[in-house]
Amino acid sequence: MMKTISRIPVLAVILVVFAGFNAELNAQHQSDYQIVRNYQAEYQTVLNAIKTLDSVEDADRVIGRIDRLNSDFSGNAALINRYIFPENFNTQVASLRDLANASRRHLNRVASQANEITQLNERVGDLTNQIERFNTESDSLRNALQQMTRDRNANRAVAQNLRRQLESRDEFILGLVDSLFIAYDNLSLASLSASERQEFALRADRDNVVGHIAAVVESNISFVDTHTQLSSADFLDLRANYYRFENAWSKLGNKLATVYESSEGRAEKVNEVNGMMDTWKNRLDQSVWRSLSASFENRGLQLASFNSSSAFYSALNSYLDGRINSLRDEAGSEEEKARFETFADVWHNDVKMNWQGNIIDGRVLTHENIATIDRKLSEWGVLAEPRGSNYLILAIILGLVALVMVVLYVTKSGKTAEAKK
Amino acid sequence: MKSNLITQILIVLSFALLLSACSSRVAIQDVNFAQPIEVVAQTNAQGQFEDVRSGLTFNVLPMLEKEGIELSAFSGAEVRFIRNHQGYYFVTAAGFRNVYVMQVRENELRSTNIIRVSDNRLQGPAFNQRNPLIQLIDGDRIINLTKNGIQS
Repeated sequence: MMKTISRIPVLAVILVVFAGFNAELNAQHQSDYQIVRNYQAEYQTVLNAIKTLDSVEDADRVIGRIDRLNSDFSGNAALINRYIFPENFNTQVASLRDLANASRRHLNRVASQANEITQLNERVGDLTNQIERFNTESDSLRNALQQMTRDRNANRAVAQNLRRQLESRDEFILGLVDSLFIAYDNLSLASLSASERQEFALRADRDNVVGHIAAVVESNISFVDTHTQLSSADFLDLRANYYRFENAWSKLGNKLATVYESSEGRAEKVNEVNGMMDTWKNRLDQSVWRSLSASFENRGLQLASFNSSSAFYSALNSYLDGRINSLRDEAGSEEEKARFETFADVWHNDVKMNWQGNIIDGRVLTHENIATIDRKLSEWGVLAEPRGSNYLILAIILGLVALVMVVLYVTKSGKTAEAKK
Repeated sequence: MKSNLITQILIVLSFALLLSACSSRVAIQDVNFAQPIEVVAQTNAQGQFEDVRSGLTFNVLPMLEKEGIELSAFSGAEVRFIRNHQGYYFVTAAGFRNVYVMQVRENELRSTNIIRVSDNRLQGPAFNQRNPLIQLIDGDRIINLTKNGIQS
């Protein structure tokens, strides 16, 4: 055992010696000439690679290759130096490094500039995309605007259609009510017997008269609430419808109240409808007055605020009186004439021509009110006419007459003097 | 008479010394001629070899005759030589069996030794300077040479 152990170091020494000998043997197999030629070939290859570098990554690869060249051949530097004299291995490697690093810096700068150019191109691309997006959005908005215009027209058509439907239903309900009471129209309810009144009430219940009427009123309130952008003409039309409906309801409501007076539940339903009628009128009035006020304001005519028929009439009167009174103190002018023409245009073309029927039916203005406004408007028109040009013409004519008279007088005086001589 | 003789001898010696001074030769000792790396170059069609660096040119035809190689078969082949520290040229080439030890004479390289290094023709010989030896490698074989032959 001991003998075996003592042999191990000896064997190891032999192996080491053999390995060293083998390494020496391998080293000796190399031709010095070939080593130098290999070095020169690699040096030339690296040099050519440096000359043809076109990216930082290539430069990094070449720098790595220079490192390998250095590590591979530095052991034979002395041999190489003898062959490449007066060149030197270290100076050649250093030159390669300098060249490669300089090329790398240059390429890096170029890459950086190229990167900047790329970024600028991307920026330009982004801006172009943004412009295209804005253009697209603009087109989209334009289309949306056109669609809105179409929708608005469509809404107007829908509103008109809905209004027509409402009118049809109103007429149907009113027709129902009329047919219900046609037999009793001229009948005094007081003359009905208790059983007849009961039958009347039952029939009314069976036909759900109050329910139908409540539904009509509720629909109209809803319509006014949801269609706040209708024109003044539309609101005036609605207001006229309201009064027609209100007129029918007032008659029927009183009769229903009479026959329902013994029934607390039924009377309450009639009162509810009365309350709803008030709501309808108030909502409608708000829209009518707001719309009428806007119609004048849009033309630059500032009327006093109003929220009732009498206030509207009063506002018209106040405005006209104010203009007329101001023109009594000062002459008319082109500006005043233009204001008058604007007001006259609204009054004649909108109020009277388009709205008059509904204004009367809607109890906004009476015929007498309209006649009064007409009269005051005429007076304003006369006073608003600028007088400056007429006065000038009159002064010129008077001046000419005076000049003719002076000439005649002088001529006549001359002839008289000659005759005396 | 005796003094005259001495005087004459001295005069003759002086002339002899003077003559020797006038016809002086310079000999430099311990010159190292060792080339660090072998020279390799191709021969042309006439067997002419030229070392561009040193300007040395010679024709390998006598060696080819000795090796039994036709010039036409050798045209373009590489010939290599290296000079040892003593100034002898060691010349060989692929296809040779010998290394020629050549000494410089006036316009002449004359072999002082022809070393048989292989019974077979060399495949890819190369010289390395391992002063004072010249190392010949050929494949796996390594042979150390002097002007006198193979150094065992």
